[in-house]
Amino acid sequence: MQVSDTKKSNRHLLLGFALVLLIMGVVTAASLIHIGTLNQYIAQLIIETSLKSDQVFEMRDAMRQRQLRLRDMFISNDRLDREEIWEQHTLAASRFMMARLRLIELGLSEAEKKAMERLTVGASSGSIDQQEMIDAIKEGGSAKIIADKLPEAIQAQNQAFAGMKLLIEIQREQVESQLGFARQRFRNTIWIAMILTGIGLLSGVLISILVLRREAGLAVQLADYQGSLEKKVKERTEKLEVANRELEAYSHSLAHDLQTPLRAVTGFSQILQENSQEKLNSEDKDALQRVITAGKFMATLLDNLLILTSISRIAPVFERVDLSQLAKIAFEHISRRYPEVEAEVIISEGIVAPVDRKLLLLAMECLFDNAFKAVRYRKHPEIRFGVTLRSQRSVYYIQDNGIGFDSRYAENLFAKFQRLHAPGEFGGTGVGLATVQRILRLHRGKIWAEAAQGEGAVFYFSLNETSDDGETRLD
Amino acid sequence: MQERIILLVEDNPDDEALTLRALKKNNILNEVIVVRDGADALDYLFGTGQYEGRDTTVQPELILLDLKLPKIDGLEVLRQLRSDSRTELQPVVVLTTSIEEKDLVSSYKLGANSYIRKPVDFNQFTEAVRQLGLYWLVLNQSPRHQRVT
Repeated sequence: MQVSDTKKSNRHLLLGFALVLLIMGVVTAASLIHIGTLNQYIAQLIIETSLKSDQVFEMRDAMRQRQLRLRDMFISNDRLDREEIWEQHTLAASRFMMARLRLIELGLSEAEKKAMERLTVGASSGSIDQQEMIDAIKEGGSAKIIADKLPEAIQAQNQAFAGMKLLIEIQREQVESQLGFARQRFRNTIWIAMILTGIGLLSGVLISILVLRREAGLAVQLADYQGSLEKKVKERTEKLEVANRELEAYSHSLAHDLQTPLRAVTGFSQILQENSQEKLNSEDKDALQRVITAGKFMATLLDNLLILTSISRIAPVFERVDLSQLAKIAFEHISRRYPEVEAEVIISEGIVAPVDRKLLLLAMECLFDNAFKAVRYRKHPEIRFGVTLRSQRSVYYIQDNGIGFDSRYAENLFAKFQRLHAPGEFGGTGVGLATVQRILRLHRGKIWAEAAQGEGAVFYFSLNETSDDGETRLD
Repeated sequence: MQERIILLVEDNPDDEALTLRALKKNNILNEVIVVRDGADALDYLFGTGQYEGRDTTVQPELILLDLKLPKIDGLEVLRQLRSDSRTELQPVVVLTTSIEEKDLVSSYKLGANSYIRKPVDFNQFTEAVRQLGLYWLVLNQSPRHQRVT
């Protein structure tokens, strides 16, 4: 859960950064495009203006030419010469007209149009004056007319030049204002780009903070959840333990209380059996015997159940105990139960371990009892107790050469009332090994068995293992 | 003979019948007084209640005491009779179903002379009764008995 959350957060973080980069990219691209259009606009403006000024200069040049030709006209005396000069004068006039037309074609602003008007008025009136003067010269006219007309012509000419100057000034102003405007736009674009980039970076940081905070929140939530879960598990476990203890206490007192009526059933049956030997037929005797046998078996069952349920009431006291000695005592006790079995016992000496003496004696008695039951029909019954090493840990064992069992069912051995043999075949109540397991659990140990049908069995047990789950294990 | 009374403190009629039969079977013919709860047992021993006026100098030669009893339980009966000069020396055999270690230890701490678990098998039970009868009524010399003789 934690891993997938982190992945999710990382994805959010990446998404946030991708968004920020996208915004910055878009801003940069838009700025570049905008600056590009501005550049294009300025370039066009410059081309347009230079074309316009070309025409203005062309007009000025043409007017100068006309003036120069007019002067030539005054100076020259040759008729042919005059003809040629006249032609040149006319050419200059048409050049002027052409330039003017081109200028108008290029498109003029209102201010330019006014300047142009002034220019045109000056030029055309100058032109008329010139025409009159030239006509006078051609006809060899009087210098008076020429002298009269000259100031007017000069004035008109000056007016035309002033118009031109104005035009150029207007154009320069226009270019300057356009350039200023472009510069302003450029500056604005840069500002907007910077602001947007700033917003992008800020939102990136914000997204990161939000994601990180959310992640932290999730972690806290997860911890809370885990905490409450642990608490719940603990509560349930406690409840379960209480219920288990109650159940066990109930089993214990039940096993205890059942003994009294059982004693009555068995006891009076035995009295009946003894007193009515002659009166009963064989079938009745058999029935009565069965009641007594069943009663005794039940008594053993109750005894074992009492032992099993009393183990959990004992607080174990651990001390260093000579297990070899304990095994000898257990063997002594059990061999008295099976006087008909002459078993050879081989006990390894000097095995010492920290255990609860009483509990471990009980466990060993159960294991020896088990072994006696397994070997009682053997010709040379043999039971061994010893210690060996498994994974560098001491493992204790009780081995017999008895009837063994099918190791597929080895796990069932340690469950209460589970038996792998029919009662007649093996005897026992099935509680013994469950008792051993419970005792070993109190010692944080384990028990497991290895066997083959008909080839004896080995019961291994360990003590003080680190884990305390007490599971049965099969090797 | 009159002085060799057995007091059987037993609430269960079946166990009472079995005990009486076991005694009879072993030819233990002493008078057996049966009381069914702890209060009755104390009344008998101290001559109170329904046993008002009983000669309390005559005390049972053997007390067979069950532990789980109505009204006053066996351990309390034991404690009271051990703290009274008339009964403090009387042999008490705890005859019970319980194998609880704490019952066993408490019984001995309060001054029980023996602790016997009633076997389910009647033959074993009879054998147990035979042995305790032989021991406490024949072999054992009690202080009071010595004083009387």
